[in-house]
Amino acid sequence: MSSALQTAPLLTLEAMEAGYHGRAILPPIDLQLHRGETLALIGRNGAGKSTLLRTLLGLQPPIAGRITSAAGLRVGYVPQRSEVMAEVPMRVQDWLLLATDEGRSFLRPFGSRAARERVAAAAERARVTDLLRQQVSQLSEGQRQRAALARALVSTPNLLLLDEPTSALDRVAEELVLSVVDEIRARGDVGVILITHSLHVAGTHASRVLLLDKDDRVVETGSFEEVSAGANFRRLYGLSHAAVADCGGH
Amino acid sequence: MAQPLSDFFAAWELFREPALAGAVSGLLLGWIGVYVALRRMVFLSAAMTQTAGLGVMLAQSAAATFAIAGLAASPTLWALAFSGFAAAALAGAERLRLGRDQVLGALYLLGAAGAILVGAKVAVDAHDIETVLFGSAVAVAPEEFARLIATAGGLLALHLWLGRGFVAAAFDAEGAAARRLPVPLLKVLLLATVALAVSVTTRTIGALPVFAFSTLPALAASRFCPSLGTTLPVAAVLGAVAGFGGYLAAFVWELPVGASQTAVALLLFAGAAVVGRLLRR
Repeated sequence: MSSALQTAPLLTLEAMEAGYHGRAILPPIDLQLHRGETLALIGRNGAGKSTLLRTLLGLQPPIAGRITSAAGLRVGYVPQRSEVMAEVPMRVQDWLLLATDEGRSFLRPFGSRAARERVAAAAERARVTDLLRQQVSQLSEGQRQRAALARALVSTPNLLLLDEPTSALDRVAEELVLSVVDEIRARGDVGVILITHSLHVAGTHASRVLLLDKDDRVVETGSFEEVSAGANFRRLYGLSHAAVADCGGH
Repeated sequence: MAQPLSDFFAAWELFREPALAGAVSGLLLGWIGVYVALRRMVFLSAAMTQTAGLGVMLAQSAAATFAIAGLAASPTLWALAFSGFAAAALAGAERLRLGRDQVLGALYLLGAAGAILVGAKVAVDAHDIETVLFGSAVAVAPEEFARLIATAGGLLALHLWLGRGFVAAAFDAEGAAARRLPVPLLKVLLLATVALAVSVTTRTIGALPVFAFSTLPALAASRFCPSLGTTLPVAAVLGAVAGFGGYLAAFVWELPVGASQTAVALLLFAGAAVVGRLLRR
């Protein structure tokens, strides 16, 4: 990849408004995300974080403005809860293999050896190689989220979108998942957008945060220290300086 | 008193089409039923089979009342139109944010009550109503059998070709949409294949076994298969066994065909549940 492409932003949002049924719920957002960055989307319940993420995923169109993607952008997505219904027989390896299809590649009748190799590599990166033959429905929450992360990695993404990936996990499992995300980002070729309710996670794992609130029409971006020092953050979270420092603000 | 099995095969020329029609219907519906049953949409199949049954009854009554013939009176086309209407109503319900179960319940009752009412009001033999609703037919016309074979072959070929897309759209819709698969198109196609399979098989073997074959083999296979890749063909084979075995059992013990096929499917499901439990130990 040329250096120009390497340094070009993965995503550029220009006065982009997210919403649904033709109505914007958030003010216009101007933002760039580069490789090697982790952007945490923070805000109260119902702030519009998931709506923004779904818009970035292309699951719903922006109401106004523009989203420009870097050439060759490949997106990996980890939903909040990665469920496979209990009665659906699905091993982790099959679940990962399912995620190798993109666009119209499912029209090819047989899966390729390359797809299986990508599954093995993604499983290794997410530390789920030992779980490949287990049923997804029988995994613990932590195992399932690591498997979900492996699913996102099979497409060798350069943009990872994670929707509260650790909300159902205990602290140990949370750190395990986030350490994998940090390792992936640290290689420098992947950008990460992470929705989190945990200010600790935002403070310790994100290079920037985006504070959102649709009711108060708030869109504020910067480092965790900058945003958490602002009036909007303190009004929305009602925290003291000391409490914010405990969250891991640097 | 039981009939000797040798009598059945001695008269194979007579029983070939209906017995194989049961097997082919079971094979097709067993495969397609994996998408229906494992997505917890069992009632979708029930609603579609009942509305398809109403379509068959209306075709017969239209032919009798208005003396129409040909394609306009084709029970299969009427069944397809009605099961297609059920599929469209369901898709519309999701868009309009109506409760899926409410719509399915209404469609089921429309089909079941409608078929009986139409049958009662027009000059349709009570046996015809039973044939459509409960699959009590012992004979299948050669042209109907040929239509079933062509439909099953086409639909199974389509499912083999688009299988990975169908699985992604049915069991991982959001992830598939994020990976830019054409999820809405795949869902419509999948629903259309369910509607076509249900309408053609309902016309041939009746609503009761169609409902049974589109749910029980899939549920049975999922009890012991490790993946969807094995569940789909195993469910198809179980469906075929239920269709053929049920017809055979109906001959041997002089039972109504549709109920007998349903009973065999239930037995297979019970056996699979036991096998699944033993395998998990």
